Amino acid sequence: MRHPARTILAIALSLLVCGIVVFDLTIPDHPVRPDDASLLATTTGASNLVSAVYLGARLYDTLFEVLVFTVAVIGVCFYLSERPSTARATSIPESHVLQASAQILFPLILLLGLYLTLFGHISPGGGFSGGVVAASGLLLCVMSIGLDTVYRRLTGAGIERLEWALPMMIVAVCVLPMIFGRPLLSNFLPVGRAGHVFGSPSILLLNILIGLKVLIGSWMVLHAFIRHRGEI
Amino acid sequence: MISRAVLLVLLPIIAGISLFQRRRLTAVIGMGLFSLVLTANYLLHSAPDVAVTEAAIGAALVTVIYMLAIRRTGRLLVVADEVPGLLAFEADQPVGVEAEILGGFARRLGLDLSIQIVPYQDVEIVLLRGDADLGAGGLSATFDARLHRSREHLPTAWVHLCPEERFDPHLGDSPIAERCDYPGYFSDLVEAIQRNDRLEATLDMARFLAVSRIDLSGWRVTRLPSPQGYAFVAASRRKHLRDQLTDYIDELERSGALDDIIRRHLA
Repeated sequence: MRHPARTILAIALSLLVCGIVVFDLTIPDHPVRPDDASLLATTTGASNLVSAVYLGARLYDTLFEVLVFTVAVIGVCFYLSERPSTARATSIPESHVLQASAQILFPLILLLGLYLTLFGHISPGGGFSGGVVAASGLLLCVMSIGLDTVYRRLTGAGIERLEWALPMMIVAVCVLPMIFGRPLLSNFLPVGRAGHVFGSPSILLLNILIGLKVLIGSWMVLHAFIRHRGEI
Repeated sequence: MISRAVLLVLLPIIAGISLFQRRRLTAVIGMGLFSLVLTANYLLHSAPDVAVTEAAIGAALVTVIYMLAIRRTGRLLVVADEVPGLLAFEADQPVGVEAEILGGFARRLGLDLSIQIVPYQDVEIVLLRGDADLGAGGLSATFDARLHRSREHLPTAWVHLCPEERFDPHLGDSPIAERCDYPGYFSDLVEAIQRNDRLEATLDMARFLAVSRIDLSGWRVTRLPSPQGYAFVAASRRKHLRDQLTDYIDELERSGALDDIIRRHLA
């Protein structure tokens, strides 16, 4: 058992999910009909109705989407770690044009990712697309300063431990409403005025968690691919 | 309305075009373009959320992952030492008989030709290590039995070059006649002879022609019996690649293109 902490996390996660599926029959029944759409904006506080559906009325679906993504990341990292790493992964044969443009573009791409994540409940976007945009920014960084440098800096920030903790936190946010006496998988934080950044704190929180999760997950997949299957 | 229809019709067209690309890089870029048009489609059909995700994943991330994949599999990696007339670089472009054959062969397979210059002796080592697909650059000697030799594309002969004072009349019988041999890169050898270093070397015809432009007074040149011609050598696990290359050279010869290439570069 190489990573006892990870194993415990995985077992706890599985138990929690099984618990939700098997023992809880009080999953909120929010049928979403076209004429409910405007109602949904006021009940969740999210003016982007797509977010209101997939992080409000249909949070159950999204939870499993996140878990599917987690399992995919674990699978890729597990099977690729068995393969020998390519020796040339460290070399940086790219041009100066790329290096110079990466310096300008990287903060902008990160900012766009952040915007998509934080304003996902107001305008198009959300945690999934924001996380992927930020991950492609990281990829640009890898091309300009090299895989090892980026990897060292991110690992220094404890990014991988966070990767295992984030699914737990998302599940926790889904379960927490029970403590406040509300149905499971509902938005428990007080709803504000629709169209404001803090108008829908639950959806904002979920978007941030999902954005981080997708960013770190995509980075780990990319890192595994570059390290073990390709060169950059 | 019209723009929606145009963008929808564009989708199968772009998908079809990228499907029929021989070169993998073009196909991958075609798929990236497909994602971009799909993004515009989503946007015009009032699905901006899906459009954002499609742009981030389809056009950016997936394209890059495909590129990483074809960086490993989408090129024909050839190791060779430079030989004027056969395979040499002029203004960063490979020229010569072998360069032309390999270029056509890579196009046929839909791969990008990538030629790495290594010293003559290292060609065999790199191929045995499996770090390259093909060896080229005037290979006429016998190689390790684990490597696969393609058919010959040009006859050659071997010449022994040694300083006058070290000449051995029984040279033809000695084992030195069984290998093409000189130290390091061919360009180093040319420089060494120009400096008049007193070294011995066994050269094939193309290399000897390049050397013979230097003043060779004081050197003894002996022609050795050699039964072989120039060929390419494929790495140990690339037997199928060798067969494909042999077929390609056969085809070139039948169509007369091979003679044409040889005449253009070695006339």
